[in-house]
Amino acid sequence: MLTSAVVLLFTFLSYLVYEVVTFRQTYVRQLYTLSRIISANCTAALAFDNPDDAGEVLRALKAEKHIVAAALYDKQGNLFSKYPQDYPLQTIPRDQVQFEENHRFEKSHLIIFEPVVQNDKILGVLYLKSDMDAMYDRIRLYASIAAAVIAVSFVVAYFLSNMLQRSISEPVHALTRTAKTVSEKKDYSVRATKTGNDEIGYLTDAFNQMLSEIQMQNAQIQRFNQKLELTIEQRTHDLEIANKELEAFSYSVSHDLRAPLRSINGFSGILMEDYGHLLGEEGIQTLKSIMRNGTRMGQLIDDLLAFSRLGKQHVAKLNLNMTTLTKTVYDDLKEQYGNKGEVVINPLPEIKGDRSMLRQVMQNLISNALKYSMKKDNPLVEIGAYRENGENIYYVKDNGAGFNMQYYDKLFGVFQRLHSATDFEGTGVGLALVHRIILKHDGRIWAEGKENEGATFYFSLPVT
Amino acid sequence: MQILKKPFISRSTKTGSAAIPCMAIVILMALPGMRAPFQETSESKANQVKAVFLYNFTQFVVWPQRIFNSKTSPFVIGVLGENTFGPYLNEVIESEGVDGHPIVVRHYKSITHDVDECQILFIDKSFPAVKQAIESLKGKPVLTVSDSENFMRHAGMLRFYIEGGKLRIEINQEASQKSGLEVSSKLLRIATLYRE
Repeated sequence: MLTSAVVLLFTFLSYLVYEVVTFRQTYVRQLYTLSRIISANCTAALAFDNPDDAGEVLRALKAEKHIVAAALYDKQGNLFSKYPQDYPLQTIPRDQVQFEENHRFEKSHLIIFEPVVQNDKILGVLYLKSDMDAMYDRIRLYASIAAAVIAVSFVVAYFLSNMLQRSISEPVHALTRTAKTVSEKKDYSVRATKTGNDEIGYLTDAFNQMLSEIQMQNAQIQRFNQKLELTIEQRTHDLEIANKELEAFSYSVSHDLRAPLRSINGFSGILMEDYGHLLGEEGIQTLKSIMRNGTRMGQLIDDLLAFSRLGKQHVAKLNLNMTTLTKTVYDDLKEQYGNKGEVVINPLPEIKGDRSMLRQVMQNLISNALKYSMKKDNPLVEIGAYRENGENIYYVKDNGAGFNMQYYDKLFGVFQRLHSATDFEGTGVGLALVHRIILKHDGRIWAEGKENEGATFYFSLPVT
Repeated sequence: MQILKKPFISRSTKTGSAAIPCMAIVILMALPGMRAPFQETSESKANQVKAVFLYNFTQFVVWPQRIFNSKTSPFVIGVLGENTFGPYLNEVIESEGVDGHPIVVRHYKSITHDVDECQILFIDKSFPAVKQAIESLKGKPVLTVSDSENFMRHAGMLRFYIEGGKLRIEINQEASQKSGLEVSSKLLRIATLYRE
């Protein structure tokens, strides 16, 4: 509506400008023609000094109502005759009189100078002044036509757009409403009503088809989902059973392995006591080797049992004084490793956790630290803690054998050892056990180390 | 009279120095304050106007082309009888021409055989034999002009007379037509037509 009005207005404006320009040109031409006729008729009057005759010629201009004034000047620029007789001519002083064909627009007037020439001789000049009312009349006419046309177009456009609105906008609005309902209520069973067989009708059809498709796909997705959930449940159940079976198996295997081992160890002891004197030096050494390995195997089985038992154990969280716990653990270990190294125990923050489990963690880490630093000249073990991102981070640091970060991946695996059993005894279960306990407490464990320079083990526990 | 000596328009080079006296006369008559009754102006000033008019007739009368022997043949303005114009006529026509023919002035004391070589013959009113002069030019394309009162009765063509203090022209169209001269309608309009 507005667009068409603007376009219409611009069209009229450009036509008006065109009209004004061409009209001015035409008008100038017309006035030149008129002035040429008048000046041609004035030659004799000028040549033979007859102002009366010139006046008569100029009076003929009465027929042209737009001519405001006319004046005839002789060769020297003196006024010879004028029209109308009583017209004051001070508007053109002598020095403004021109002897060349020339025109100019001056305050809504057109002024023309036309030389009076007879046989190429200039006898004088004619001055013509015309108002531009003819042009203004035409502009007024144009403006009124433009206003009328614009008004009529507005009315027509209004009725047309009303009619079109009924046939185009209404179905589109209906479609929009449906789309809104669908997106708000997530109800894909809604359908838009088709009003006609035009483009909007096709759009409605396409929209409805799209809705059906979505509805269908939704149902399909739901079906898949249910199926998937069922499958997951089934698998989880199967997995749990398998896990339990595996744990029961490893427990029973470890447990059942202990009985024959006890016999081997028992009978070896009896053999040593009762028949040791018969065996000789070499026999005794062999028997001792059997007994040592038997003990080691017993240790391995114990560790394995502890590890597998951990899977079944429930974490009983209590407030624990970690400083006291650590000190008790160290006191026990002191008997085993002696007083050779220096052990620094910094104050450790309290934490909620399972007492026996965390005791096991501390025991493993501190014993490891003592074990690997014992061979140094000045063994140093430092135990401390700090707080970071809402977690308590505890660490045990030593200056012992350390490890190569290249093998870090194997550090917390079961039966994984970075050092040989001859250098440092151990079963390779300790760190795996620690790892499992920390995970059960929703914490993390990691380590830093360098060969022959020491290692630091960190574990974090959430502060609740 | 200071301003009269300076041409008002510099552009009109064609008129040259001869235009100056001519302009002087026109200005004299055109300036409202100076438009005094003709009788009161001196005889010489009236003669100046007559000289200008004589020249202007060349612009409003068409002569048959055959009168000129060649392209450079002069256009002759003859003065028969007393030369009342003094130097004015020569000043007016100086370096002027008609269709490329230079204008010359010839003076005749009596009706000689070569009077018919003129294109314009001015017969002074003091000339006693006006009638004979006209008759001697009968049928020849010579524009006869005079300020004699009886001139028209003798079939003279153009007569100067004074009306309301202004110099006017009377035309005997029949006479000019018989001589093969074509007088411009523009000139006819401003002139008085003579009827017998």
